[in-house]
Amino acid sequence: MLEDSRSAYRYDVPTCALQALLAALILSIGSSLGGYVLFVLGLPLTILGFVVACRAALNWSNPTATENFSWITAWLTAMAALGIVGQTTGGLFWYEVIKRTLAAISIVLVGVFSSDDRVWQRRAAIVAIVAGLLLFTLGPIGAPQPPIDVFTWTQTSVQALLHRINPYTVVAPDVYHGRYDPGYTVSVYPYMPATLLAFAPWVGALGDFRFALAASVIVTVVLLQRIGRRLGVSPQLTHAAALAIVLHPSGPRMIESGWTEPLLVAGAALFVHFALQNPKGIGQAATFLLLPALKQYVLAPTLLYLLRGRRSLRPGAVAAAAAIGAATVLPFLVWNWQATLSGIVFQMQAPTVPRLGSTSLVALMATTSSVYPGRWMSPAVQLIVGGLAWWRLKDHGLSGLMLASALSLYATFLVGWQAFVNYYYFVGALLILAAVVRAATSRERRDGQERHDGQGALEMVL
Amino acid sequence: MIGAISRSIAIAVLTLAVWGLGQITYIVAICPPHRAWMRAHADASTVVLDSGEGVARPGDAIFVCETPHHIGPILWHEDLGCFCAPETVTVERLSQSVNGSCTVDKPFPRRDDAWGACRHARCNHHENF
Repeated sequence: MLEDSRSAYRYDVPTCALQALLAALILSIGSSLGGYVLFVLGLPLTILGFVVACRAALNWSNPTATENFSWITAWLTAMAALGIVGQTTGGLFWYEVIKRTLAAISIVLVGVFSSDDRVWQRRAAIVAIVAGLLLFTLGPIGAPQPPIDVFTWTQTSVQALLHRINPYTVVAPDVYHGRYDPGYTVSVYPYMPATLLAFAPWVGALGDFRFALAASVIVTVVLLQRIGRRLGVSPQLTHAAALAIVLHPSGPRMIESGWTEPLLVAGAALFVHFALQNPKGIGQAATFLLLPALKQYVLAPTLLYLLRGRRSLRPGAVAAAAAIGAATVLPFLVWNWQATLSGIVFQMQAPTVPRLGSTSLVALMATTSSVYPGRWMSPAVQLIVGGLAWWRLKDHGLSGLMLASALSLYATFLVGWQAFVNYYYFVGALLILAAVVRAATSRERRDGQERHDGQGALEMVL
Repeated sequence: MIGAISRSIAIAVLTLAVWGLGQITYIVAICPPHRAWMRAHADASTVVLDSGEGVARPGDAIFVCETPHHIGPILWHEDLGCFCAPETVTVERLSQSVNGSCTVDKPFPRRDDAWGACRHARCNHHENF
C-alpha cells in the first residue's frame, strides 16, 4: 500500500517549468513585502523573480526534467509563513485570527505536501486549497469596509450602474478624508467598463462586488486542476500551482481591497482551458481579448496573441472575439463618451510623480533621488521585452505565449511609476499557467503520444 | 513525514527571521525620521519633510514631534516627524498622545508652503482626537 502510494504519480517535470513556477513564488513574496522592507527585501526579491523567469525562458526548449520539488515546497512554506504577518485592508478581528491561524496551519500542510507519500501529499494539498478558498469567500464579510479607494469607487460605480446612472459620472466619497495625496485626485471611476459588467450581478445579488473576486479565485483553481488533468501533468505540479495561488501572501488582500486582478487571472485560466478544448474557437479568442477590456495595461500580451494567431486562428473567431470585447465598451461610450474615456485613460494621465510605495526601480530612484525616467518608459519596455520574449518563445505555442506575456508585463511593472502587488499577482498567475502547460508538452513528447482527438490538435496548440 | 514537517517549520521560522531582520535593518540603517532627527540636531532650520503621499486634511495643523523609536521593548533611537492633527489640539495633548515632544510647525498648512520644517502640507502621521 505504501509502495503504491509512493509510486502513484511518479513522473518528471521539465526543469524550465519548475523555474517558471519558482519565479512566480519568488515574485509573490517579493511583491507582497511593502512598508519598511519594500526596498530592503521586496524589490530585490521581485528582481530575483524576474531573473529566474528569464532563465526559464532561456531554458524553455531544454528537455531536462526533474522530480525534485524541494525548492518549490520551500518557497511555498515561506509564502505561508508570511501570511502570518501579512498586511490587512480593514479586516475584522475574528477574520484576522482565522486568516493568520490558517497561514500557520498551512506551514504544516505544505510540510506534508513535501513528503514522499503521494497520498498524503494529495490530501494535504486539497485541505490547504479548500481552506484557502473558504477564506477568500469570507473576505468580503471579514473586511466589510476596507479603507481603500478602489473599494469605494468600484462599489459606488457599480451601484450607480444598477440604478441606471452612468457610472463614469458619479463621484465616490473620499475614503482617506483628504489625508492622502498620491499626486492626483481620483475624480472618475478609473477602470474599464467590463469590470462594472462583471461586478454588477454580484452587487445586485449579494451587495458586494468582491464576491466576484473570491469566485474568480475558485474558478482559477478548479481550471488549473482541469487543465493539469487534461494535459496529464504531474499532480504534484498541478497541486503546487494551485497552492501558489491560494497561499499567495497577499491573496486575501486581493479580495479585501477589491483589486480587479483575480478577474484577469480567471480570464487567463479560462483562455488556456478553451484553447486546449478548441484551439481555433471563439471561446479562447474571446477570453484572451477580454483581458485588455478588463485592465488597461494588457498591451503586449494582446499584440503577441494576435501575432501568434496570424496563421493558426480563424479571422472570423478573432473578429467575433474583438466584437465581444468592444461590446463591453461601446455602450458606455454611446452613453457618455467623454466621461467614459476620461475614466479609461485616467491612470495613464493622472500621476504627476511616481508612486513611492511601488515595487519598482523607478520608485526606488524617486525615493533616493529626484531623477527618474518618464511615464513612457514603462509601455516602451513592455513592448520591447514582449518582442524579445516572443522571438525566443514563438515556437512554444500556448506555453510560450503565456511566458512571453508574463515577462512583458513583469518588465513593464519593474520600471513603472505604479507597480503594486495586485499587478504582479496577474504576472505570477501567467507564469504559473505557463509552467503547467509547458509541463504537459514535455510529457507529450516523451510518451510520443498524440493524445487528443487523433488529430494532433493538442500538439499544435502546445 | 515528520522530517518533512520539521523542515517546513524550520523554513517558516527562517522566513520570519529574515523578514524581522529586514525590518530591523530598515530601522537601524535607513529610517528617514531618524535621519531627519540627526539633521535637525546639526542644523535647527533643517527640512523634516517636503514630499510623500501624506498631507494635512482640511482643518489640520502640522506639528513637529520628536518621538522614541523602539524595536520591540528596546528604545533604539529618536525620530523627528511631521504630525497632522486638528488645529484645535494643544501641543501638550498631542505630545502625550504620541509619547513624544511636539511643537507647532504650521497652524494653517498650505500645499504651496515652502518654509518651515514640514513643507507643502506634508506629514508622516495623522492623529485623530
